[in-house]
Amino acid sequence: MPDTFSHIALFYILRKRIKRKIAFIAFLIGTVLPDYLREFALIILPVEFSGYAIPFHSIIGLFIMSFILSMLFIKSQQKEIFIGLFLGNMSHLFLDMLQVYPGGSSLYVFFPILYKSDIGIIPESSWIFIFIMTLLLFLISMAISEIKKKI
Amino acid sequence: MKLNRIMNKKLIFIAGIAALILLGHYGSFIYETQDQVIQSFINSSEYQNKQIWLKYIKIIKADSIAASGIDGRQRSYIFFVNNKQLQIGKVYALELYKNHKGHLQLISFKEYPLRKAKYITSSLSILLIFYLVIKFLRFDKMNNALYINPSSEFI
Repeated sequence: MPDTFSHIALFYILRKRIKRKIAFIAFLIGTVLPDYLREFALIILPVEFSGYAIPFHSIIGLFIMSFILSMLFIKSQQKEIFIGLFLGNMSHLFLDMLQVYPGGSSLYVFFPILYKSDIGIIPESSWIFIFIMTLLLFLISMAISEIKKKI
Repeated sequence: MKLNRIMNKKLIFIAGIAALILLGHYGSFIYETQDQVIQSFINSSEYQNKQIWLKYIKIIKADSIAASGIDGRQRSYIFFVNNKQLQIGKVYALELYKNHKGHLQLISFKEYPLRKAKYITSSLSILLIFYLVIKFLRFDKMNNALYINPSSEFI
Protein backbone atom coordinates (compact mmCIF):
# COMPACT_ATOMS: atom_id res chain seq x y z
CA MET A 1 0.00 0.00 0.00
CA PRO A 2 2.37 2.64 -1.18
CA ASP A 3 0.47 5.91 -1.02
CA THR A 4 0.52 7.96 2.15
CA PHE A 5 -3.10 9.07 2.08
CA SER A 6 -4.45 5.49 2.15
CA HIS A 7 -2.40 4.78 5.28
CA ILE A 8 -4.14 7.46 7.31
CA ALA A 9 -7.56 7.67 5.61
CA LEU A 10 -8.32 3.97 6.04
CA PHE A 11 -8.27 4.42 9.80
CA TYR A 12 -9.63 7.96 9.91
CA ILE A 13 -12.97 6.48 8.84
CA LEU A 14 -13.16 4.79 12.28
CA ARG A 15 -12.84 8.09 14.18
CA LYS A 16 -16.37 8.05 15.67
CA ARG A 17 -16.18 4.43 16.78
CA ILE A 18 -12.98 4.51 18.83
CA LYS A 19 -13.46 5.50 22.47
CA ARG A 20 -9.80 6.08 23.41
CA LYS A 21 -9.40 9.39 21.67
CA ILE A 22 -5.87 10.32 22.75
CA ALA A 23 -4.43 7.00 21.66
CA PHE A 24 -6.43 7.12 18.43
CA ILE A 25 -5.10 10.56 17.44
CA ALA A 26 -1.56 9.34 18.14
CA PHE A 27 -2.39 6.22 16.13
CA LEU A 28 -3.52 8.31 13.13
CA ILE A 29 -0.32 10.36 13.22
CA GLY A 30 1.66 7.13 13.61
CA THR A 31 0.15 5.66 10.44
CA VAL A 32 2.00 8.16 8.25
CA LEU A 33 4.98 8.96 10.45
CA PRO A 34 7.35 6.32 8.98
CA ASP A 35 7.04 7.83 5.50
CA TYR A 36 7.65 11.38 6.68
CA LEU A 37 10.57 10.40 8.88
CA ARG A 38 12.21 8.50 6.04
CA GLU A 39 11.65 11.27 3.52
CA PHE A 40 12.95 13.85 5.98
CA ALA A 41 16.07 11.75 6.61
CA LEU A 42 16.62 11.29 2.86
CA ILE A 43 16.27 15.04 2.26
CA ILE A 44 18.70 16.15 4.95
CA LEU A 45 21.28 13.36 4.53
CA PRO A 46 23.73 13.06 1.64
CA VAL A 47 23.20 10.13 -0.76
CA GLU A 48 25.96 8.04 0.82
CA PHE A 49 24.04 8.09 4.08
CA SER A 50 20.73 6.87 2.61
CA GLY A 51 21.07 3.74 4.74
CA TYR A 52 20.39 5.84 7.82
CA ALA A 53 16.75 6.08 6.74
CA ILE A 54 16.26 2.30 7.02
CA PRO A 55 15.40 2.24 10.77
CA PHE A 56 12.36 4.44 10.07
CA HIS A 57 10.69 1.50 8.38
CA SER A 58 11.66 -1.13 10.92
CA ILE A 59 9.99 -2.26 14.13
CA ILE A 60 12.94 -1.49 16.36
CA GLY A 61 13.60 1.96 14.87
CA LEU A 62 9.96 2.96 15.09
CA PHE A 63 9.74 1.65 18.66
CA ILE A 64 12.57 4.01 19.63
CA MET A 65 11.06 6.87 17.62
CA SER A 66 7.60 6.42 19.21
CA PHE A 67 9.23 6.37 22.61
CA ILE A 68 11.18 9.58 21.94
CA LEU A 69 8.10 11.36 20.59
CA SER A 70 5.89 10.24 23.48
CA MET A 71 8.42 11.79 25.87
CA LEU A 72 7.49 15.21 24.45
CA PHE A 73 4.01 14.87 25.98
CA ILE A 74 2.75 15.39 29.51
CA LYS A 75 3.29 12.43 31.80
CA SER A 76 -0.37 11.43 32.11
CA GLN A 77 -0.66 10.97 28.32
CA GLN A 78 2.76 9.50 27.57
CA LYS A 79 1.76 5.85 27.81
CA GLU A 80 -1.34 6.21 25.67
CA ILE A 81 0.50 8.25 23.05
CA PHE A 82 3.37 5.79 22.89
CA ILE A 83 0.99 2.87 22.36
CA GLY A 84 -1.03 4.82 19.79
CA LEU A 85 2.03 5.94 17.84
CA PHE A 86 3.62 2.53 17.88
CA LEU A 87 0.46 0.72 16.78
CA GLY A 88 0.00 3.32 14.03
CA ASN A 89 3.55 2.67 12.88
CA MET A 90 2.92 -1.07 12.88
CA SER A 91 -0.21 -0.65 10.78
CA HIS A 92 1.90 1.33 8.31
CA LEU A 93 4.51 -1.41 8.13
CA PHE A 94 1.86 -4.10 7.75
CA LEU A 95 0.21 -2.31 4.81
CA ASP A 96 3.64 -1.68 3.26
CA MET A 97 4.49 -5.36 3.61
CA LEU A 98 1.54 -6.28 1.39
CA GLN A 99 3.17 -4.47 -1.52
CA VAL A 100 5.46 -6.08 -4.06
CA TYR A 101 8.99 -4.65 -4.04
CA PRO A 102 10.55 -5.24 -7.43
CA GLY A 103 14.00 -4.63 -8.79
CA GLY A 104 16.08 -5.17 -5.70
CA SER A 105 14.36 -2.68 -3.44
CA SER A 106 12.99 -4.09 -0.24
CA LEU A 107 11.35 -3.40 3.08
CA TYR A 108 13.30 -3.94 6.28
CA VAL A 109 10.57 -4.44 8.87
CA PHE A 110 12.58 -6.88 10.96
CA PHE A 111 15.87 -5.04 10.50
CA PRO A 112 18.53 -5.83 11.74
CA ILE A 113 17.41 -9.46 12.11
CA LEU A 114 15.86 -10.13 8.69
CA TYR A 115 16.61 -8.29 5.48
CA LYS A 116 13.55 -9.25 3.48
CA SER A 117 10.08 -8.95 4.92
CA ASP A 118 7.59 -8.12 2.20
CA ILE A 119 4.59 -10.43 1.73
CA GLY A 120 4.15 -9.15 -1.83
CA ILE A 121 0.43 -9.44 -2.56
CA ILE A 122 -0.39 -6.06 -4.10
CA PRO A 123 1.58 -5.00 -7.20
CA GLU A 124 3.27 -1.62 -6.87
CA SER A 125 1.50 -0.30 -9.95
CA SER A 126 -1.99 -0.87 -8.51
CA TRP A 127 -1.63 1.70 -5.74
CA ILE A 128 -3.74 4.19 -7.71
CA PHE A 129 -6.81 1.91 -7.47
CA ILE A 130 -6.33 1.56 -3.73
CA PHE A 131 -5.99 5.33 -3.45
CA ILE A 132 -9.23 5.94 -5.39
CA MET A 133 -11.08 3.35 -3.28
CA THR A 134 -9.78 4.85 -0.02
CA LEU A 135 -10.60 8.38 -1.16
CA LEU A 136 -14.17 7.34 -2.00
CA LEU A 137 -14.58 5.64 1.38
CA PHE A 138 -13.16 8.72 3.09
CA LEU A 139 -15.50 11.12 1.25
CA ILE A 140 -18.54 8.91 1.94
CA SER A 141 -17.67 8.77 5.64
CA MET A 142 -17.28 12.58 5.75
CA ALA A 143 -20.60 13.03 3.97
CA ILE A 144 -22.38 10.66 6.35
CA SER A 145 -21.04 12.49 9.42
CA GLU A 146 -22.11 15.85 7.90
CA ILE A 147 -25.61 14.53 7.22
CA LYS A 148 -25.84 13.09 10.75
CA LYS A 149 -24.80 16.46 12.19
CA LYS A 150 -27.56 18.27 10.30
CA ILE A 151 -30.20 15.77 11.35
CA MET B 1 12.71 17.01 41.26
CA LYS B 2 11.64 18.84 38.10
CA LEU B 3 15.26 19.36 37.05
CA ASN B 4 15.87 15.68 37.62
CA ARG B 5 12.98 14.80 35.34
CA ILE B 6 14.23 17.17 32.62
CA MET B 7 17.70 15.61 32.86
CA ASN B 8 16.19 12.13 32.58
CA LYS B 9 14.24 13.23 29.53
CA LYS B 10 17.38 14.63 27.93
CA LEU B 11 19.24 11.39 28.62
CA ILE B 12 16.46 9.35 27.05
CA PHE B 13 16.47 11.61 23.99
CA ILE B 14 20.22 11.33 23.58
CA ALA B 15 20.16 7.56 24.11
CA GLY B 16 17.27 7.18 21.65
CA ILE B 17 18.90 9.28 18.94
CA ALA B 18 22.22 7.48 19.48
CA ALA B 19 20.42 4.14 19.06
CA LEU B 20 18.81 5.37 15.83
CA ILE B 21 22.16 6.56 14.48
CA LEU B 22 23.75 3.21 15.35
CA LEU B 23 20.92 1.38 13.63
CA GLY B 24 21.26 3.69 10.66
CA HIS B 25 24.96 3.05 10.50
CA TYR B 26 24.25 -0.64 10.38
CA GLY B 27 21.56 0.10 7.80
CA SER B 28 24.07 1.63 5.43
CA PHE B 29 25.73 -1.80 5.18
CA ILE B 30 22.43 -3.21 3.98
CA TYR B 31 22.49 -0.91 1.00
CA GLU B 32 25.59 -2.76 -0.06
CA THR B 33 23.59 -5.98 0.20
CA GLN B 34 20.87 -4.36 -1.85
CA ASP B 35 23.47 -3.62 -4.53
CA GLN B 36 24.29 -7.28 -4.60
CA VAL B 37 20.59 -8.10 -4.94
CA ILE B 38 20.43 -5.92 -8.04
CA GLN B 39 23.61 -7.45 -9.32
CA SER B 40 22.26 -10.94 -8.78
CA PHE B 41 19.08 -9.95 -10.63
CA ILE B 42 21.21 -9.01 -13.57
CA ASN B 43 23.16 -12.24 -13.35
CA SER B 44 20.03 -14.34 -12.83
CA SER B 45 18.92 -17.00 -15.28
CA GLU B 46 15.68 -15.09 -15.74
CA TYR B 47 17.58 -12.21 -17.23
CA GLN B 48 20.17 -14.33 -18.99
CA ASN B 49 17.55 -16.43 -20.76
CA LYS B 50 15.25 -13.66 -21.85
CA GLN B 51 18.01 -11.30 -22.92
CA ILE B 52 15.69 -8.42 -22.27
CA TRP B 53 14.99 -7.35 -18.78
CA LEU B 54 12.33 -4.85 -17.88
CA LYS B 55 12.01 -4.09 -14.24
CA TYR B 56 11.35 -1.30 -11.82
CA ILE B 57 14.63 -0.40 -10.30
CA LYS B 58 15.60 2.11 -7.71
CA ILE B 59 18.86 3.88 -8.37
CA ILE B 60 20.42 3.68 -4.97
CA LYS B 61 24.15 4.16 -5.34
CA ALA B 62 26.23 6.78 -6.95
CA ASP B 63 29.43 5.49 -8.44
CA SER B 64 30.06 5.66 -12.12
CA ILE B 65 28.60 4.10 -15.22
CA ALA B 66 27.43 5.00 -18.67
CA ALA B 67 24.80 3.37 -20.82
CA SER B 68 27.38 0.89 -22.10
CA GLY B 69 26.85 -1.49 -19.26
CA ILE B 70 26.91 -2.21 -15.59
CA ASP B 71 29.34 -5.04 -15.63
CA GLY B 72 32.43 -2.96 -15.10
CA ARG B 73 32.05 -2.10 -11.48
CA GLN B 74 30.12 -3.87 -8.83
CA ARG B 75 28.29 -0.85 -7.47
CA SER B 76 27.58 1.39 -10.35
CA TYR B 77 24.04 2.48 -10.78
CA ILE B 78 24.18 5.89 -12.31
CA PHE B 79 22.56 5.53 -15.68
CA PHE B 80 22.77 7.94 -18.53
CA VAL B 81 20.20 8.01 -21.28
CA ASN B 82 20.86 10.40 -24.14
CA ASN B 83 23.45 12.10 -21.96
CA LYS B 84 20.84 12.76 -19.32
CA GLN B 85 21.62 11.34 -15.94
CA LEU B 86 18.84 9.50 -14.15
CA GLN B 87 18.19 10.92 -10.75
CA ILE B 88 19.36 8.84 -7.83
CA GLY B 89 16.67 7.62 -5.48
CA LYS B 90 13.89 7.70 -8.07
CA VAL B 91 12.23 4.55 -9.30
CA TYR B 92 12.49 3.81 -12.99
CA ALA B 93 11.44 1.13 -15.38
CA LEU B 94 14.62 0.27 -17.21
CA GLU B 95 14.80 -1.77 -20.33
CA LEU B 96 18.15 -3.43 -20.58
CA TYR B 97 19.59 -5.92 -23.00
CA LYS B 98 22.77 -7.84 -23.32
CA ASN B 99 24.81 -6.83 -26.34
CA HIS B 100 27.09 -9.03 -28.45
CA LYS B 101 29.99 -8.42 -26.09
CA GLY B 102 27.91 -9.67 -23.22
CA HIS B 103 27.57 -6.20 -21.78
CA LEU B 104 24.33 -4.86 -20.47
CA GLN B 105 22.98 -1.99 -22.42
CA LEU B 106 20.25 0.38 -21.46
CA ILE B 107 17.65 0.73 -24.19
CA SER B 108 15.12 3.00 -22.61
CA PHE B 109 13.80 4.19 -19.32
CA LYS B 110 10.73 5.80 -17.93
CA GLU B 111 9.94 7.19 -14.56
CA TYR B 112 7.83 5.18 -12.19
CA PRO B 113 4.27 5.34 -13.57
CA LEU B 114 2.03 7.93 -11.95
CA ARG B 115 4.85 9.06 -9.71
CA LYS B 116 3.60 12.63 -9.84
CA ALA B 117 0.13 11.57 -8.73
CA LYS B 118 1.74 10.44 -5.51
CA TYR B 119 2.39 14.06 -4.63
CA ILE B 120 -1.38 14.55 -4.52
CA THR B 121 -1.82 11.71 -2.04
CA SER B 122 1.07 13.02 0.07
CA SER B 123 -0.47 16.50 0.08
CA LEU B 124 -3.83 15.11 1.16
CA SER B 125 -2.25 13.20 4.03
CA ILE B 126 -0.29 16.31 5.08
CA LEU B 127 -3.56 18.27 5.15
CA LEU B 128 -5.10 15.60 7.36
CA ILE B 129 -2.09 15.67 9.69
CA PHE B 130 -2.23 19.49 9.85
CA TYR B 131 -5.89 19.27 10.76
CA LEU B 132 -5.14 16.78 13.55
CA VAL B 133 -2.25 18.85 14.89
CA ILE B 134 -4.14 22.16 14.84
CA LYS B 135 -7.30 20.65 16.25
CA PHE B 136 -5.92 18.43 18.99
CA LEU B 137 -2.34 19.32 19.86
CA ARG B 138 -1.76 21.84 22.64
CA PHE B 139 1.23 23.04 24.62
CA ASP B 140 1.18 22.88 28.41
CA LYS B 141 3.33 25.76 29.69
CA MET B 142 3.27 24.49 33.28
CA ASN B 143 4.81 21.13 32.40
CA ASN B 144 6.72 22.38 29.37
CA ALA B 145 5.27 19.56 27.33
CA LEU B 146 2.70 18.83 24.65
CA TYR B 147 -0.68 17.27 25.24
CA ILE B 148 -3.65 16.12 23.21
CA ASN B 149 -6.87 17.94 23.98
CA PRO B 150 -9.45 15.19 24.30
CA SER B 151 -12.41 17.61 24.40
CA SER B 152 -12.00 18.60 20.72
CA GLU B 153 -14.26 16.78 18.31
CA PHE B 154 -13.40 15.13 14.98
CA ILE B 155 -15.03 16.35 11.80
